[in-house]
Amino acid sequence: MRLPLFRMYWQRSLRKPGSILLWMLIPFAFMAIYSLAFGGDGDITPRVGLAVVDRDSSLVSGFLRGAFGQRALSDLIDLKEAADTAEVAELFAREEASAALVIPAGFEDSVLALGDAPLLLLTNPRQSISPQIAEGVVGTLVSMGNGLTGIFAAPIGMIRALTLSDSVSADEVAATARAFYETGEREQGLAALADIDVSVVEEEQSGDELDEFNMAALFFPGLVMFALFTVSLSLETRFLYDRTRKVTHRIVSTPVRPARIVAEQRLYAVSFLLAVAVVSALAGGIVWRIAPVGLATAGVIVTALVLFIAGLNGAIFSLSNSVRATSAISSFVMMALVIVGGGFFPAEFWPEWMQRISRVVPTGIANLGLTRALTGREIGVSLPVLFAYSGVFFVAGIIAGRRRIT
Amino acid sequence: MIEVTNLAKRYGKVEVVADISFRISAGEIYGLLGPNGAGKSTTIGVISGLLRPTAGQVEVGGHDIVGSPEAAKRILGVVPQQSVVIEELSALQNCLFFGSLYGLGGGALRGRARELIDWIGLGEKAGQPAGEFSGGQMRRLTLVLALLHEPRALVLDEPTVGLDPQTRLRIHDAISEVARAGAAVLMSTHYLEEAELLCGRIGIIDHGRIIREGTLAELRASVQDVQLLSLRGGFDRDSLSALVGTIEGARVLHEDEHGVTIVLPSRTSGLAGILERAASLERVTEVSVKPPSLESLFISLTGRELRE
Repeated sequence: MRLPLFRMYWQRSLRKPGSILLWMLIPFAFMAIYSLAFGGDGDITPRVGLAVVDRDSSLVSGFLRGAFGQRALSDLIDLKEAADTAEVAELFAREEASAALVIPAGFEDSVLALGDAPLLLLTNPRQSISPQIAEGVVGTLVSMGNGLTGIFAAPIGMIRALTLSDSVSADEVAATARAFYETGEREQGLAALADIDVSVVEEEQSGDELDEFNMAALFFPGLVMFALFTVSLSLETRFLYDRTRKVTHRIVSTPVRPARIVAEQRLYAVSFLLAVAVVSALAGGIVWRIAPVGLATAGVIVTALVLFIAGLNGAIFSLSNSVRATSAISSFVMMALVIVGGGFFPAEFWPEWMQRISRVVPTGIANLGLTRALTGREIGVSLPVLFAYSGVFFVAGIIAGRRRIT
Repeated sequence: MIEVTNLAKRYGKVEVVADISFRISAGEIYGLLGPNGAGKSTTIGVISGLLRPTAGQVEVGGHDIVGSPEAAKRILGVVPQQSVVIEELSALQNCLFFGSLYGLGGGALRGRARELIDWIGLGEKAGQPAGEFSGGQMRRLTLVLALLHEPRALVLDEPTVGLDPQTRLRIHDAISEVARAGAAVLMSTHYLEEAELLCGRIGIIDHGRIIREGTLAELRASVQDVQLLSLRGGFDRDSLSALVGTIEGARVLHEDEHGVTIVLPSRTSGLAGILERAASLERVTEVSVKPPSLESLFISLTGRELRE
């Protein structure tokens, strides 16, 4: 089948690909920013900076600081030592710390005396979510500490006596150690604590399963979706430029039927967007080490998505011959659809009512389907609904385009 | 080859073209002469199949442009008012693309494209992107793109507007050559000298109507009846009326704040005395007489200069 217009548009794109290639860089630029913000290596779990001002410099305060260095917490908390609150203020100003834990002088004495041992937590007023995370972590740790202190009150009291005594005999130290041991033996719950082993059982997934969960697989598809919209906008601007320069009119004056002219334009737009999607997905997958799972499903979803985008923008750009007006409308619609579709932040993390909205817009269906497919889960969205959207808008794009050029 | 019958085009209540009819035979160049906004481009738009007529019929080679647009367009070449080329593609690639829209292809199209590019004087630039061409070169390429499929009818909308004299002459030669080869040519222009130079028949169009049509000889013959007296400055209306009233067959054609144009029959005698009396009118700064010409005929018919 000869497709002269389709070929001509591709020839033009390959001869002057500059502006479109720039648009293609969008998802990579955004993803790079996300990675820089949340940490590299494709692991974009956020870490909370917690400054510690240890005015006690004791064994007990050392235990407390050490607790934040334990593996589970160190994944979440980035501990920073600070000499005083002035240094904390500087860390806050540079946004290197979201909160600061001040351990007062005499903390150890208070703990051993089983009296009040107040800690002070300062939060960074420049931030909102991270300080709350820090508050939660510190609160949990303190609760656990209070529980343990209550259980070991007797042996702690013995330690306190030893520290106040002028001379300590070996028998006294042995008695204290024995008291700790016996308390532990007596408290069956504590013994049970040592045996706690949490097993996480995941429901069996159909299809491929991921060995390692990659957060980039959640963010990158949305950014590619955004890039597809922007590239589409650029293509439609070219079509409109052809219209205003009467190139399209000149083509209409040839024996080629107007409907075919518009159909070949749409076909070219779809093929170009698919090429952009494939190149972006390959490059992004390699750069951010996104596991190659669910590719067939992702391919189907991307095809539906580009049909939708090409049709939608084709229809919008047929509304007027003004580049400003059509670009403004297209940009507004694009931003609304990409945001609601979870393009910039996965809808999975949203409140349920917002997720419900996301699941009825084509971008939301596509993005949710893509992220789930690429993270080895069931897509949980209806592909027929997505294709219904695509079909309707693609046909609308052809009809509107034909009306505009005749 | 091109037959336009009672053509009308209306946009809402605005009638842009009203009841136009003309016929162009093979090998003939027909000029549609009129000022800007007269309806030339709309007429050509309908003939090219770009606009749907409100009434009337256009046939190209016996094919109705509305009923059988593909068949009509297949034998029609169109040169729009502005240069239309694909700027990212070379001259040759432009030819191959537009040729393919007429079902041409392969070596034949490539050969024809090279032949026409050389003929129009763009041979050395065949591989260069059209976007780098000068305005005149783009215009010449636009003409080439309309000739690739050897059309039996060629429609040109103001083909030389805004061009330098050298390019204009080149395009004039090309149009004449196409007509000599047997194509029916319709061209719109507001250059009187262009119409006189190229067109066998001319239709003078104004306000969407053809107000006079004929061969150059016929129009020149009718021109002999008309000369124009032009007065510049301010006038006392009574004195002016008195002057016009004394000349048999004279009438005021056009009047504005700058002056007045009076149509005089060419047989008017005592022109020297009339000029003297006109010059003596209060605040007249300039008096002139346009001798009988196509231009004076045009002004006497439309009340407007061609380039207004």
